Amino acid sequence: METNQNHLLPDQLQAYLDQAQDPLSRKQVEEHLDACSTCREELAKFENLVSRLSSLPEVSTQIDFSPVILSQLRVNKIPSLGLTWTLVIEAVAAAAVLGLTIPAFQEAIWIPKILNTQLEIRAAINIFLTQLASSWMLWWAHMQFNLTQLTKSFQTPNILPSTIASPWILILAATVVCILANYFLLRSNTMIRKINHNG
Amino acid sequence: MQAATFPRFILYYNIDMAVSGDQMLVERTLAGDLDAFGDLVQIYQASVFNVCYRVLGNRRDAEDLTQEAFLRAYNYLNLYDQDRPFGPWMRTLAANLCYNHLKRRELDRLPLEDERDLPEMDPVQNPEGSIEISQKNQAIYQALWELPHPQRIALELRHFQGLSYQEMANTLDLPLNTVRSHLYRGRQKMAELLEEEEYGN
Repeated sequence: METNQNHLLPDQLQAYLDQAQDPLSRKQVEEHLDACSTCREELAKFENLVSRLSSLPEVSTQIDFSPVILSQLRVNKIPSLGLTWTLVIEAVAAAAVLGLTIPAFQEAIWIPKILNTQLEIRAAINIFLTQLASSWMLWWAHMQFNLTQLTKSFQTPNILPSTIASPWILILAATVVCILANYFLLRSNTMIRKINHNG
Repeated sequence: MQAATFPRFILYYNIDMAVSGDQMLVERTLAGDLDAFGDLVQIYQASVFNVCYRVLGNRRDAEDLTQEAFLRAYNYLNLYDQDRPFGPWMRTLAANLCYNHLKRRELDRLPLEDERDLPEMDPVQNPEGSIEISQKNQAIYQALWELPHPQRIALELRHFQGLSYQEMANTLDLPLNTVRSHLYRGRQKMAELLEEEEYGN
């Protein structure tokens, strides 16, 4: 049916090799293969590879990993820490992040003041700078402490449905930090407004 | 089946029994019995190590990542679907972990592992015993390690773990077409490398 000029596409050939086709297109490929020696050779090349891979012997391990793994699990058994303590630690961490970020906000707030622009523009710049600072902080914290690893190391106990509940607590903490930061930002803006009014 | 007779089922190994045995070990682990997890480690450590070794290409890293994979499996054990066999889940987790390890190392611009330790072929494993066979197998390992990481992981998941395209895409969190093209290019490159090697001899 198909002429030899239209060879099988790589995708077709691969799908045929992996038996990942519907029966109809499989039949079409088979018909083409019957007629075309080039594609047969191409297929044989891959089939040869597959058979060599599947006959590859595994290497032997000289080590029994179980004692090391079990001792690590016994040492790292933070689950006994309990939900309360996990929450306390995360709250302290959130407070620390807040403590780190507030000076950055306060610094950022005075930059537009120097620029002596209109109040609205200043406010916009403030918000932009705050966002920039907070996202930079998050990114920095992530690079520094590898947040994902850190949250995974917290083992929330069986009280919560899943062990990965912990990242959500962190996200919640980050949200609280963000809201508080915005509160401080707004307050500072009001301060600027008052200063302008007075001046 | 009595819990105490557990490790013995390997002696009269049969897949159904292995699966139900694994489920029991998983349940006991989830109930807080660490020794049950130790049994799981002993059953699967060889195959998991081999996954890591094929993906990473050196023994020391493979040992580290094997450990890491089991630790992670323990942490995520309650996310594991107990209706599915444990072995494939464990090996896929290990493969994914190794892949991320390679990606991260590339990101950190750490020098790529220059020492590849080729396996010393155990003559007992090859009944034919001829050196030629072990050389051929070494050539396969070598060709595998010359592939770029995404292609190597695609070959690992497809040929050694038997995953479908869709499962591969889910595991690697990549679009289906990307996975398919990694697999195709990996096979193409590997076929070329092996062909070269054959001409070389």
